[in-house]
Amino acid sequence: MSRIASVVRSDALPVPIFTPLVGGFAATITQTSPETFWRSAPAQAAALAETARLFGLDAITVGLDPAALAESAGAEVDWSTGRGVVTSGVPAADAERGLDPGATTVLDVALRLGQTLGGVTDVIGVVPGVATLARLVATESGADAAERLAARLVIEAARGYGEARVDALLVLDDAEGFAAAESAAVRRAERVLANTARFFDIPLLRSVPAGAGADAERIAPAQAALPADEPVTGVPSAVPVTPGAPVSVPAAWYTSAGELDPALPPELLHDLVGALRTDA
Amino acid sequence: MGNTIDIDVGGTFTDCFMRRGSQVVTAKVPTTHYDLSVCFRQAIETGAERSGVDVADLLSDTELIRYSTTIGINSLIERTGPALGLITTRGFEDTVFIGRSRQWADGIPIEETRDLSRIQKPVPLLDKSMVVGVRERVDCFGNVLMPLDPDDVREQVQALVDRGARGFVVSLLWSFLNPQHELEILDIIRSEYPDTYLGNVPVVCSHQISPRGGEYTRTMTAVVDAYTHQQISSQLWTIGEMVRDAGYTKPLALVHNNGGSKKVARTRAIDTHGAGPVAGVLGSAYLARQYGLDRVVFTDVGGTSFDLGVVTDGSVSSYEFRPVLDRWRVQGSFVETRSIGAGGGSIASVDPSLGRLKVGPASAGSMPGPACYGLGGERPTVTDADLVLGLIDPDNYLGGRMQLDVEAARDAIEADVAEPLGITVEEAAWQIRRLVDATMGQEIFKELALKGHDPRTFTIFAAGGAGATHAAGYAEAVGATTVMTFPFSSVFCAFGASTTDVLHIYERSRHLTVTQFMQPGFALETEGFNAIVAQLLDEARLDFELEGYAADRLHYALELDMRYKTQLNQTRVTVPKPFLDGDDDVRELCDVFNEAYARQYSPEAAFPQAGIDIEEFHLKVWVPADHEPAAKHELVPGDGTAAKTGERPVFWGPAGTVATSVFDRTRLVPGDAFAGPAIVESDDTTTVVPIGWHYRIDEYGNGVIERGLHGDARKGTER
Repeated sequence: MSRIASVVRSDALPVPIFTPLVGGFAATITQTSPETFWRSAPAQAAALAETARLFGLDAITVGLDPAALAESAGAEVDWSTGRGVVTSGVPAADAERGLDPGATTVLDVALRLGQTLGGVTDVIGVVPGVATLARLVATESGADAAERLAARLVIEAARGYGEARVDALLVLDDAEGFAAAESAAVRRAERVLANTARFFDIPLLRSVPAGAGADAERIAPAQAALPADEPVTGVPSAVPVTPGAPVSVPAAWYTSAGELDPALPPELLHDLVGALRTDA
Repeated sequence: MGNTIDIDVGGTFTDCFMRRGSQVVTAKVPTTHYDLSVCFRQAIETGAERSGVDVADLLSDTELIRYSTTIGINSLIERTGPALGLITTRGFEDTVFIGRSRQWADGIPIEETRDLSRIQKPVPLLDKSMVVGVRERVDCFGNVLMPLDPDDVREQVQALVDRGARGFVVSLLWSFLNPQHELEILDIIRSEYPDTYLGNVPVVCSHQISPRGGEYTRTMTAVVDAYTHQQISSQLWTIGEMVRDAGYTKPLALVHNNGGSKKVARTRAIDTHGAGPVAGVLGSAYLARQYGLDRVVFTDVGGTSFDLGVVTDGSVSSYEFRPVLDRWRVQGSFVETRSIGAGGGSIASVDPSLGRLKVGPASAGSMPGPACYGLGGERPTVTDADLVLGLIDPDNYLGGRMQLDVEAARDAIEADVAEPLGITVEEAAWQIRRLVDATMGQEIFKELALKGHDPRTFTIFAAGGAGATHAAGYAEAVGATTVMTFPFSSVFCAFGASTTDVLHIYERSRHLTVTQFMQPGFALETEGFNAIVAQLLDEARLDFELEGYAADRLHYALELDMRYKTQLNQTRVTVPKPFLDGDDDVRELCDVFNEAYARQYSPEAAFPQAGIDIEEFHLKVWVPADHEPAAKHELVPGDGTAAKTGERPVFWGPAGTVATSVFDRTRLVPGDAFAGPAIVESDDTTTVVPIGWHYRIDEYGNGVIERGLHGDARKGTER
């Protein structure tokens, strides 16, 4: 059983686990350009694996930037700023195509990491929340069509991650996406994600942006939470910590308060990991 | 026999049948194709939960776990086997590529064989560069004409290793008569690449896998065995470790396609292919004997495929001796089953050019599965249709462990079928159901009729998760009037595995003349005959001793493939006595053959004056399984009121929507009977009793669906 699965089940582990959200930080550590990192599966997998090894991370995240999934579905994305900026949504002609698992970078990265890190470091497959992704894949067909497309992409990505044998699925929304009212399509997609995670025998996690104030009901049907500020009560929840700040809450499971800044001085992360192990 | 666990992996679901004393527990979980050990574990966990015991306690007091798996066939279909090198007699390197005459049609449905513009031979399992010929020659009597050249062998083996061979298959001409050269090659490879070195590669010799004539089929049998060995072995290691860690200390056994089961350590990869449905046929034979039914057809409607097998006179009556695995014709004695792509997961669509509804053979499998499974499937399936019609309770599927999404099912049927055909969703669902029932019924009818039976006289056994849901429908198409369902119908193949004996068939090709053309008297040398049987018997005794059985527990039956001298076709006969002692025994053997031939082809076709030959020996050896006789209960006439849970609206096609009674299967008792339309629900299957049919619980606690108001479950003889 993976460490994440154990902690979601509230099994006792000998040391706390630390599962930060790692995206562009891995590119910085390995001196890979952002464009290469996000577009090249071999480069991204190598960078993430190296980062996990260097810092002794218990889990590594794949697909943190939702623009990556949008690009695989046909959107045009500019990576020059270090984060994906969608310049043009998915063309209507491509809307029915869905994802080609063989040509979707994040799925390729997950597969590679499974082969490289299998059993040593957990791999978390990240899917954007439907509302978050719908804004990125928006087409001239309207908001409903974008939502339907986003739901399909998220489900297909989750399935792909499952086939790649990741250790957990994480639904990641930005603040706007998390706050958006849940339509029937979004609720159905989340049920499908939960069923898919159950099929692949892996836990489904939910990110909670800072200030969202989520509770167990909002997290459902996910089984555990990765919050950016306060732990969520009523469900297994990681405790967010910030490199450079003291760790005040003893816990079995820690995460980063949001995605690690690509410019974060590596020694701060190194010290944090050391502190978390010492606190055990 | 103590507590046992039987697990059958299907295309969509993995089934578990547990016997704990007199208690029977069943479980059904989705098949996890990404790692079959996951669903294996989940099946045991679910079974343990239903038994009210801990997994560790369950496994520690289990005597035997039997398993039938699809991983071998999956690795053939998905081409995930290792790169093999084939060593054969020089000059015969192209045998596996030429195949046997109509090889291009092997393993594909008949409608595809008619598409001559697209038909192609399958891509071979080995590349041409991975086949080498060595200098050697043995003749058809087993005499060495040209000895093996060890240096030549070393050179060829090195060439294969340099080209990336991760395993060797050795198949030389006439090796089944004289395996000396194959054994020498085996020794050379082992000395060049000993077990102690990392570069060690496994070697499979054809005479050890299939010591029978037919260079193409013998070679392909060895190739398929080697190709699938690694994946099966690797999965079994994972499962073995998992159950050992959980407290199981006994051996794991595998169900074989010849109708038996043996320990993993005594099983070859080739023995495991297609074993699931075979177990179902064996289970049907067991129940047929219990009921005294002489004509039974086993039908299994799973998620992906519809399997069927024939049982006559209480035993398995049909074997395939040159079966096709995926696209490859091999040799063996496989219990015959037929399979078509029709099941709960079969996808319904409208052919855009013909405007006609089509159901299957494509299946939604277990991922994403039917639209109603909520795993992201968007194509409508048979299960979606059954749900929309009201036949399945969305809140009670798999005992409530899987919530079905009716709206998703309706949307899928609306988009792909109802709208293109311009009909309502309910009518579309009805047509999907009717079409799949007719397809399955046609398959049954064809199979029985081609075997010379009247299909209408057969009792249909309904198995599989969707068997009881559709059996009355396809029985109607067949013209059969009696369907039997069982509390374990949904996991029938796992139940069937629990009835298997420990069994193996030892085979040899040996040409012996019994009588000469137009000559009186017998030409057979009984000493030679008996020596072959003795050799097979010795092999069997050693094999079973390693399995853990003393010789005095073994049962034997000798079968021979015999033919008239002027003909090619062989007929398999069961020999009255395994050892022949004089002319009287030989005469009896000839009489048995003549009768079997006359029965098969016609008395007028039998021509004993042509002379009779023996071509192959098959010694069937088994240790019978212990079976508790089924308990019989007193019949208490009733109408099932105590088991009725309510009514729900069901669309019955031309009859429209009818408020249909729903019964809880677990609360029905022997003697309860009622007329359709009705639905009988249990945790893992739904029995549908259509209008015009009648349902009752018999003295063994099994459900019988019969046409009309009157019927006798003991029917089955020719009318």
